[in-house]
Amino acid sequence: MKRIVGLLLQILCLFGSVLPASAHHSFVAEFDDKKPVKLEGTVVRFEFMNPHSWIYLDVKNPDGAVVRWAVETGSTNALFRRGWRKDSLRAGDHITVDAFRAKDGSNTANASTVKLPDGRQLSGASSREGGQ
Amino acid sequence: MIRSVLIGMLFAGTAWPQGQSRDLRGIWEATGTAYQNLEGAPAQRGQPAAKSVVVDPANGRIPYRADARKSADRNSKERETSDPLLSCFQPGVPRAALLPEPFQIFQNPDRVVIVYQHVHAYRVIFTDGRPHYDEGIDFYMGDSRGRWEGDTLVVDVTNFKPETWLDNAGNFHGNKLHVIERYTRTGADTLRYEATIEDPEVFERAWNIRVDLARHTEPNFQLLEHECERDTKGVYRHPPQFLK
Amino acid sequence: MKADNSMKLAMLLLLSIGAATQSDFTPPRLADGHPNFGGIWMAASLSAAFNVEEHGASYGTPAGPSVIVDPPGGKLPYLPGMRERAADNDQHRERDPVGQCHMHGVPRVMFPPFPLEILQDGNYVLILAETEHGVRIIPTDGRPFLKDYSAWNGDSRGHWDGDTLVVEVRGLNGRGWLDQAGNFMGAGAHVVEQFRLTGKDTLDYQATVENPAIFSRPFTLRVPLRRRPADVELLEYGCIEGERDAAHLPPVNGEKK
Repeated sequence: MKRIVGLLLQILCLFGSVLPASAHHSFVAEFDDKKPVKLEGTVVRFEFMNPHSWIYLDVKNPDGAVVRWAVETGSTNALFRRGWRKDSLRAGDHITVDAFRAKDGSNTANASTVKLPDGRQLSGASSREGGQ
Repeated sequence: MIRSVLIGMLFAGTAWPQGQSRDLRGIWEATGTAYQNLEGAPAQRGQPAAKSVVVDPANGRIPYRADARKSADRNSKERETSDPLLSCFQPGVPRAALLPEPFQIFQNPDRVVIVYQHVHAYRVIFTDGRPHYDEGIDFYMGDSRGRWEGDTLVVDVTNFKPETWLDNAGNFHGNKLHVIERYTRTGADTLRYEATIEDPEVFERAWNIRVDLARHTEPNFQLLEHECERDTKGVYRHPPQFLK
Repeated sequence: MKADNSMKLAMLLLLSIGAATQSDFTPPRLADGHPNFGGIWMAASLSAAFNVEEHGASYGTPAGPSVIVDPPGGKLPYLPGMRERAADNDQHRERDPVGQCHMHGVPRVMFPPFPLEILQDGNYVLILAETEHGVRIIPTDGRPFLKDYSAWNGDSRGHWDGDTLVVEVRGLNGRGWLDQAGNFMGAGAHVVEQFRLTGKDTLDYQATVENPAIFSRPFTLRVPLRRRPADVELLEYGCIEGERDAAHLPPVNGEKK
């Protein structure tokens, strides 16, 4: 009993204020945590919604081609509770995203952190590490 | 005064003490066909004419801005494919109260909760004076704050997403929608529902609807689970028993 | 009826486990004398949402203990062949019905990583789940169950046993998973839950699940719930309206891409 309590306490401390995984679906079904990607680009559209908010981003490749990416964040509720609002990102904003790529090879990714125009770095409330 | 006496006489058989009516609890449902078209419809295809539930303006027409009226007409033509309700969206307000599907009202000292059978949408209406959310978040069912005026629950609803319709006919609103609902008991088994609707980007002025709701008195009546299902093409559909 | 006897056994098992962990806390009461469960709650540990059994760290989620308190040993008492089905689910998490915006089912709906609201009103206990704007309306007036009912969150009937709310759930469609790892209960499952306040901010939640088609015996899990800070309110969680992941997931059971 004591051992279980101890283990539970450890888990609780680990989570503390860390947000729990998204209940929408498991990260692993769609994204590959062995395929990190860093995206720097211009926001085309920010959709603040459930089950996931989406940032549509135009990213310039080294060869000069512009590629449209769809970056998924956590739920609106998770973002809202972390201080995001529906106008936190506007078309034209220049942002940097650390994310994990989709398994199906498309230009889709799941954000870990998003660096905002004002320099703030916000967790993407990803379903990988926590998204409540 | 006279109207309430008349209503009282109308329901005298049910011996309901009109004074004690800050009790909205129960399972209610709109009678009538307002859900099809708030502005009513002429007699057609064996169906009798449906009266408009728009009580203000007096001509029963929604006071759209000219460009918005065109959009409503376009919605109407496309309603078999464009109605967000068909895509299993939450119905929004006031449409949720007008659907031909029951909803249940629960009351606690600091909140009223309405659970709609339709896709199990729900609203928590705080009555303790706490303020609305700021503008930074929108909801399909809006953000509701209520207070009592006499025996009427007045609910102020803001923070709407624009993607819901007001009825099956394509009457619609925008992002600046603001609804003020009024729930008033009019008898043991009746509830009057009124709503003031305004959106300066869509309507020229605020307008009002009025609908009477009836209590479900069947023994052991309960809401059923109405959950949409995704078909093999990835399209969400309502279970057939809930399609009307 | 065989089912009734099994349910009585399940209830006895559940109540005896509950009795063994009785607390001395005197709860706040409503006018009708019953304890007041009202408020916003969430599982104290998110471990069960990932996997109800003991599990190591994987897929970026941390390790966690089993929440199964019976049978001792904390393992789901699957019949032969059933654990293989759960393992197959685990390899195909795109099949998780929650990913298709379905309500979580009972007991999973009680421990997602999102808040719940419990509200009592006369002969009803109402549980609102933020995820999928899920709803459980639990009458406590002794009315009969629905006949031939099949639903994601089933059909619930509650009664009070002292300060414990006991809820029996029938009519579960069995399509929901038990957790994100693909554990499942199957169609025809019966659940008996027990809710008890153990402190100002703690609610003991236990569920005994029985399905002779899937498990060799009933099992009981226990997930304590903790009250959320006073400024937390449920937020609307529209799922179908904004669902965009399906296009990137492997097709599920007959879906065309």
